[in-house]
Amino acid sequence: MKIIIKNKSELPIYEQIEQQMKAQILDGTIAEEEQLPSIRQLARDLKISVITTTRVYNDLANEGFIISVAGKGYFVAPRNNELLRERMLCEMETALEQAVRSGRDAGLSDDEIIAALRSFMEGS
Amino acid sequence: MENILEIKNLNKSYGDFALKDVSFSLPKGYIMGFVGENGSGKTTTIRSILNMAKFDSGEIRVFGLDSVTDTIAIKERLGVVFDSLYLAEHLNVKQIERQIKPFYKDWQTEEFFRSIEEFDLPTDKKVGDFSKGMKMKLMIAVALSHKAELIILDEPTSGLDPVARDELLDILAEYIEDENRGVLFSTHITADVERIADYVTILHSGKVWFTGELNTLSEGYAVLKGAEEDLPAGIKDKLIGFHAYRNGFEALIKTDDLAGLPDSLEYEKASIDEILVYIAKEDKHERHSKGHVV
Amino acid sequence: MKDILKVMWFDFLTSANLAVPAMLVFLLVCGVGALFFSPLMAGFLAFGSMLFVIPLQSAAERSGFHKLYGLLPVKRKQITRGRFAFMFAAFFGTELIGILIARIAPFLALYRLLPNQGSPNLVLIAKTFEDVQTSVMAIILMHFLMSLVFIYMEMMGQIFGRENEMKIIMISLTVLTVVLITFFTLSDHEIIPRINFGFDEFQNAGNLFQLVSTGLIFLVLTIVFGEITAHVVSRREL
Repeated sequence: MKIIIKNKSELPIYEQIEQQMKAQILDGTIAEEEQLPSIRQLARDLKISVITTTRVYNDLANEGFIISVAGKGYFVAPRNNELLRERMLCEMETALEQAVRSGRDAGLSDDEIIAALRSFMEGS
Repeated sequence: MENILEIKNLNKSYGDFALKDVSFSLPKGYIMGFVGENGSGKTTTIRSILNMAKFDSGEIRVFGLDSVTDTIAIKERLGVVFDSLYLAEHLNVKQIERQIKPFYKDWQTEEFFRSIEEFDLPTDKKVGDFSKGMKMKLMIAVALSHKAELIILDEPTSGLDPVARDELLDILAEYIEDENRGVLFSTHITADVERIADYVTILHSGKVWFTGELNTLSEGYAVLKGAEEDLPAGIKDKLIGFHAYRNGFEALIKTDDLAGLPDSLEYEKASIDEILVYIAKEDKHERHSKGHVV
Repeated sequence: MKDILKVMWFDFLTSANLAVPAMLVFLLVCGVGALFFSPLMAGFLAFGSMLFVIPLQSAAERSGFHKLYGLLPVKRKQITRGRFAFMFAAFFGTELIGILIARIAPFLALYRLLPNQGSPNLVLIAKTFEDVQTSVMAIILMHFLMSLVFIYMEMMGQIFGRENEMKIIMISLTVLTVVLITFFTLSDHEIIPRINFGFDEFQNAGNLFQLVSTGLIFLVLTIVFGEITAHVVSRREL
């Protein structure tokens, strides 16, 4: 797990960490079911307040990225977790919606937008 | 949540200065930044906690014990870092260890020398010749060696170079990993506590201006900038430390009051430093306006 | 009591690394002087005890010990008591050593090893070894006066601040002079009855009595001054 905190960022520290952890959980840098450092360890490593790391873990747990196991600590949620899947679907929908709106604003026809999407999928 | 330090309605007056109804508490397991301009009463509050200053009324509890009647029991478990060294300047670290050791029931010599080594302090050099940062680390080593559960730092960073200040944050971050401990960190260099503190208490003219989670403070206030004529009627009274200049104005505002302001006004999040500056400006402003009335 | 001992040990260690080497040199010089030339020279050890007290006072000032006193788990009064107890031990200890050296000097009679035996100087030196009683009394009185001055100054210094030391000395000396002059003028003119201070009796009473009586007065004054200081200092804000 790699986390970089920018002191001069407009984003609050907790959001910076949340974004980076989510990204690393999603792309597999932090493996599923891997144990995460404890709230206090993370605070110590990053030299930030305990309340901030507590908030990060609470938010990530609420969003289904990690799970808290009583007495053991925090773990990355399994990939097939329903919550996580739903969340990713939701993210996809918003991104698509945004893409469609931008395409229409640019004056593209629906076919042209679908073609663009298809070329993206073939490319990746 | 159990409080490791609790101050209730502390009052004390001497000369033209007074602490007025100072109350705040620090839960076990957290770091509190204790900030305010010089002369705001931080040091007097700390001296009251240590029973070095007598207060007129109020109550201070450390580890749940009374600061006046149980002061000895408290000090067994309390570490203090002052802005200047309080140890014999002409002695070296080894000699000082022999001197201090008998006073604490829980003193651990090995722990002391482990910290000394970890902090890169020489054991055979007069401590009076240490740099400011080394003196600060020596005081922390003393605190760690008798298993202090609460460390109080009184302006430890004034006159410290950035490297030593960073080292201090490292040490505190490691210290607080144990959830049974607490840190009260008094400073006027607020950047030191901005990142590591969980709670913050702002003292201004002997009164508590804010106490609570640091997040609540940083999310609760913003710096507002713009042209004075764009300000809706009535909002000016809610601004703190309003300051107009030729091209516009600047002021501190509660984020709750931001709703409904025109887009022509810009705002950004306020640092503790900025908050302190605007509080001080508000004060001056009030004194001026009072002066006009009279 | 245990706290007082801890503070005495603390005070000793504060002055020791300066005082102990200096004291050894002092002991050597005074010892050689007393054993070879005159037992009276052991009295100069009284200055040696200052070596323990003066560095302690200056270190306490310079190193901000008032902050340390505020955070140690010891009552403030015990710290003051410990300081006075340490001073008593330093002065009384050196006094005992001085007396011991003076008393054994005539037995060793090392002056006989000096060259030029029979010269007028040597005759004078030999004479000083005959009346060791008087020498020891002088040593006792010297220590006694010095100790009183030091614990008095410690009390005044702690109460009124060391920076006022010169002022304290001037005022104290003036008051003392005025009181003594008034007293002796009045008693010379028999306005008040003459008081027998027992100087003659003291002189004839023997070294043991002299040591014990001055020692007791010193002890009592140490306790009185110490308690006054502890009371005043602990009531004040640190």
